[in-house]
Amino acid sequence: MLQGIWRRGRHTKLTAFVVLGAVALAGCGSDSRNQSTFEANGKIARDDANIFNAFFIVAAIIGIGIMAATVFAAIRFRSRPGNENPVQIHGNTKLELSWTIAPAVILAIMGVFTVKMIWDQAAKPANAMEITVTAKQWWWQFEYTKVEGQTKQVVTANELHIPAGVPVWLTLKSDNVNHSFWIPQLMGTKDNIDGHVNTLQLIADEEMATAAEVDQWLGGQCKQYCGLSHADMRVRAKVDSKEVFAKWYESQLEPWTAAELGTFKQWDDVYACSSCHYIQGLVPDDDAGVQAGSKPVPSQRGPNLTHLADRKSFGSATFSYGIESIDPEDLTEWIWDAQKHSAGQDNSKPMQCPEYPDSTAKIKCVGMPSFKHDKRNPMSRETANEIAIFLLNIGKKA
Amino acid sequence: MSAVTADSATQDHGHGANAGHGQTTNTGVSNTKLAVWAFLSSEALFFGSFISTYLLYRGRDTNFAAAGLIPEAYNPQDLFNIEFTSATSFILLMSSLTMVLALAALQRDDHRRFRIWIASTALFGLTFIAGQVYEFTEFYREGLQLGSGTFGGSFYVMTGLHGAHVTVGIFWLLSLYQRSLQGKLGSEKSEAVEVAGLYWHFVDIVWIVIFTVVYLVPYHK
Amino acid sequence: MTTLDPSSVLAQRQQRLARPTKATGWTSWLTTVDHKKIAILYGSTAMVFMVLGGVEALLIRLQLWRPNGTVLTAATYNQLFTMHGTTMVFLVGMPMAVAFGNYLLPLMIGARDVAFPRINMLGYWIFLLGGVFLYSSFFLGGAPNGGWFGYAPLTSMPMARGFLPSHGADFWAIGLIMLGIGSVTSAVNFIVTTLNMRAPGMTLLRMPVFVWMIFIIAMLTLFALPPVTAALIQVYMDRNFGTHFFDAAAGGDPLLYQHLFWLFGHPEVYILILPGMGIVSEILPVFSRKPLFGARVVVMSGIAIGFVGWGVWVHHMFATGVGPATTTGFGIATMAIAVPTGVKIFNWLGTVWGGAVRLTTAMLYSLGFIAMFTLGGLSGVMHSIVPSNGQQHDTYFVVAHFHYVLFGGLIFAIFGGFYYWWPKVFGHFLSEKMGKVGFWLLFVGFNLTFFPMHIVGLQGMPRRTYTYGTGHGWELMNQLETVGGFIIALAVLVFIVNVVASRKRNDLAGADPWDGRTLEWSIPSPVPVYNFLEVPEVHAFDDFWHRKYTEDEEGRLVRLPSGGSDAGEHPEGEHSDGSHIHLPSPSYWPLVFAFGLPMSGYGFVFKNWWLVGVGVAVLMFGLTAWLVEPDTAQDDHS
Repeated sequence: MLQGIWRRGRHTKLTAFVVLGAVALAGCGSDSRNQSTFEANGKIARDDANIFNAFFIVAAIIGIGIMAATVFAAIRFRSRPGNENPVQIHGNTKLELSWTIAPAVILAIMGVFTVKMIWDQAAKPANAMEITVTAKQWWWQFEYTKVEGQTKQVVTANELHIPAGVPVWLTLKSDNVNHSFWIPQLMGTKDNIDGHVNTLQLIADEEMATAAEVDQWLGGQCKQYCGLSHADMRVRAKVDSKEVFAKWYESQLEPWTAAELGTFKQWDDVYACSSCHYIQGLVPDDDAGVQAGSKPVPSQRGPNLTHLADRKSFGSATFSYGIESIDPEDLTEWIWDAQKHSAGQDNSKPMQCPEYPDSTAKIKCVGMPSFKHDKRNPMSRETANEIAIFLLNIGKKA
Repeated sequence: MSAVTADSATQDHGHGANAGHGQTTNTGVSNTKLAVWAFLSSEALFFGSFISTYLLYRGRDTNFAAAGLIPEAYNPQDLFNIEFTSATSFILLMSSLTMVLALAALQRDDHRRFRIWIASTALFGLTFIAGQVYEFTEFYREGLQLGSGTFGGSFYVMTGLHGAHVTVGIFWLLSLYQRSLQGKLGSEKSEAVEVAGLYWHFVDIVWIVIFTVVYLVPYHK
Repeated sequence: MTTLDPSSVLAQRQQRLARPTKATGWTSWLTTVDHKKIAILYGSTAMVFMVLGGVEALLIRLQLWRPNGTVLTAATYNQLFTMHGTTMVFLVGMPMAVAFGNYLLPLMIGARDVAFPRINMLGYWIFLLGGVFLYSSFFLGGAPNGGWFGYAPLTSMPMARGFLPSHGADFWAIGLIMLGIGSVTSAVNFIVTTLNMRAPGMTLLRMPVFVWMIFIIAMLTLFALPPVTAALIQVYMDRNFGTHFFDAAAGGDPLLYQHLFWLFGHPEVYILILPGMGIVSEILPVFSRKPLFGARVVVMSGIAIGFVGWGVWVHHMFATGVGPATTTGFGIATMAIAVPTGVKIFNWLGTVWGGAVRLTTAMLYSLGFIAMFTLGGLSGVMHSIVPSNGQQHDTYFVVAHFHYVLFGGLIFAIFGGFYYWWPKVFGHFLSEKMGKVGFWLLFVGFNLTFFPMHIVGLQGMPRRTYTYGTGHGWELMNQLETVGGFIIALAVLVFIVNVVASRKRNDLAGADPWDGRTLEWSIPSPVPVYNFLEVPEVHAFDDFWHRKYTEDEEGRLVRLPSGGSDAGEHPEGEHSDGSHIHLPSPSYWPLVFAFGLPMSGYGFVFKNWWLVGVGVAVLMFGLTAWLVEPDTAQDDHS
């Protein structure tokens, strides 16, 4: 039933906006980023939209009524010769009572539906897939903690893969400032707050399931102001069929070959990539040095680079967006001089990661540093290009 | 217009900042006193915010330390010298009594006694502040810093702001003492002492709450 | 015990530095304690800040004109939206209310001044210097950039950690604490004035609705500012002294900040809008020639809003995961507060209904207020639907909502108030023709700017983003908004031209140009320094109206033969110039006192403790001199 209302409701809402604004329609419909709440592709988003639409119509009627009454009263009761001394009405108890009670009743009805939906959405669905979403500065990390039949965890960034029709239970965390996770066509927002664990549920529509090679994404972005690059902290989700999802999931568990690790180590030794980025197997989890504290723990300050080659965009879904895969030239620029490309930063004052390369201060890294401007080991563009091409060819045995 | 009433007659003589005796107001409470009451109600919420913060964080860093999230926890009960702080708190409490005596003395035009009591009030306050300075120094030496978990900040900032209020009060009392010495503080101006007293009692009451919450209630929830 | 005798030193100094006596000339504005002059200072300063905040908004609109805009960098954009919000709330909205309250409150209750004229002046200086302090940050390394709401831990992280790498957040925290002190002083002043200084017969229920609204916001200010002051101190301490109030890694809780902030922030919304409601409640009856429909209900609903306003703050935090029980409670409370608000709207309509409406500029703004505020109120109720709030939260839909409330509401009311009371304050009319042009420009510009924000918000555009990509379909809406923004700027320009031109034209108004209802219209325009030659005696709500009119048995108005203004018909005699009235004398000390605050403020920001010391010394000096100085110079020697 709800779905039926929604399909019609969308048009009702658009029509209402035309009535109100006359300018509404022109803006809608050309959304290739799928970030508009006018279009719902998941159960939660549809519920949100339905309850909004229902009360939007009520509100629109009341609003238009009051505005019409205001205009009518101003014109109808204009001062004319002969009516300068109108009847002095000081009040009317009956009338006043009725316009106190009437809104209260409407609001009470609204309240019942609202409260029911609040509790529905807060409940954890049975057999849900569980993903922990950690907000970083400024990107998203996804850890798949409970996937049917899988015990190993997949850690990825910025591009969320979910199977269609399966309830997903998101656990939202932050290890820095406040953020807010939002993919409008799947569900409303919830904040990521350090020291708090928030939850959010979503179920993507079955008909959204796409084949692996189809490049169709649902857009979203951080909603809670989180500093310089807040606007660039985007996210996108791909809804897969169950089979496609399982395949993708398996592929994410594959480690690098020893040769690949060896190649990367030569750069890591100079630029300390792994002090921010996680690469599966680069620093073994059972490394004695890690346990003794003399070597850095595999870091998750930056996105997991192990399977960057499988992602279609980088830089918090900001770069190489809308093309089929990550552009090596884009990635080269980013590795070489990220500050130039993030948040329209002023290049004369590169925001150095204070922890890089030798600082022992307990300072969190904010954003990707500019290796081009690094004082100790300025990176050449060629090196950046080599790293980019290396990372993009992992797992692609040509 | 109608005859000038008693009310408007007094208003004719200007109604300034220190509308004290002899001026009728709608409420019967003088402007100054009403203003101080309003101000103190605002202050109550100010301290209330810090006390709430303290209560929210009470015992928290202990849990965090147990979970290995912060290196060490502070159990303030180990630091506190309850006897010492009880003594200074008692002195501050007594200063409210001397404040009452000072006002009573002034109202019956006993200026010598007024000065004795008002000076004792200030002196008691000063003793309390000295105790607080000593306490802060001791705690700091024993390792409790502003950055010691959440306790360090919420303790020092709350009690420090209270200490600042007491200090302002001491200056206020001394200025009254000074005016009395100059013979400018007759019994007709006793309201100036009364409002200083309101402030002083308020600061005292706040301390009673802080003392109870911080020192007497166990830190661990 | 030999101490330095500060008051005798001061007494000597005062002989050298004579007490200011000038009542005219620009220096008189520095030392005045006249509530009317102070009101003009508040109003004109707030107007300057409104233009500054407006320029910031226009720059924001230029940046968002097209996707991937390059007008501003992210760093600049973040400073501008932070300062736009901070300016409009703390340097325009609140001081405008104080400006109107300052001028009108004593006049409407039949008093000669506020209860504490010098504290009144102090409040103004703190406001001005606090504003200058905040804006000076643009030249001292960067303006505040953590948002007007300044959520911790973004603002409370030590600067060295690089999240907000400038002193901006320190300026913001210290500046708001300063402005808060100023607001509390004026709140105390208004409360005491309202409770204590009413003319004989002016019972609480005979007070004009505007006075009631000012009284309610004074109470709200008094209780709302302490929590945020505490939060700001905690932010400052976290940022500069290594405390961990909001650092979750050490046991702190970022949510505590949000609770303390919104415990202030929501009542603050009512602090901003209630004066607007008060202004409209004065204008509508006058230009409808009917009493305010259900005046007592309007007052009572204002009080109800004042109370319930304390119980809805978490609706700003529905997305923070406070749990379904809490969101249920606060969602319902938010719906409940719509009831008293709705009652007001219907009562205003009831006032206009069946009246004899004169569509003056002031009336147009008031009617515009009803329409625009209703829209803002309705979108506000939509936010209480918690599930869909998750979609609207922090999008442009919310930006549209609160601009309809605060711009369509408060700013419309302020402009209406300007046109309505201008003749009373300055003696001459503002041009009605230009006023109406300005109104329609503002009305069209306002709706063009903010209505599309509803749509673009629902289309998924979040707030506080310095840029957006192509492919969202947001371009057209953003372009309309930018065009609208510039039409608003044009409307403000028309108003400023009107002020200058009308001053030149000097179309004199007389004491009671609109056939007013409240006491301020019973005295000459501009108002003499002593306000009332004789303190009036009040017999009814809208007392001045009832001196002019009565009703026949059908309830129609009948003008009383002798009724009307007693302005200009002063009794002849030695007292007719008001020279017998003793008024508080001007004083330097509020200014000196106020200067101490930004001085120590800079000290706190840059951790220069010498500067803090000097600031506190200046403050103490000003305070001591103030306390020694009597209210009125005459009393000194008599």
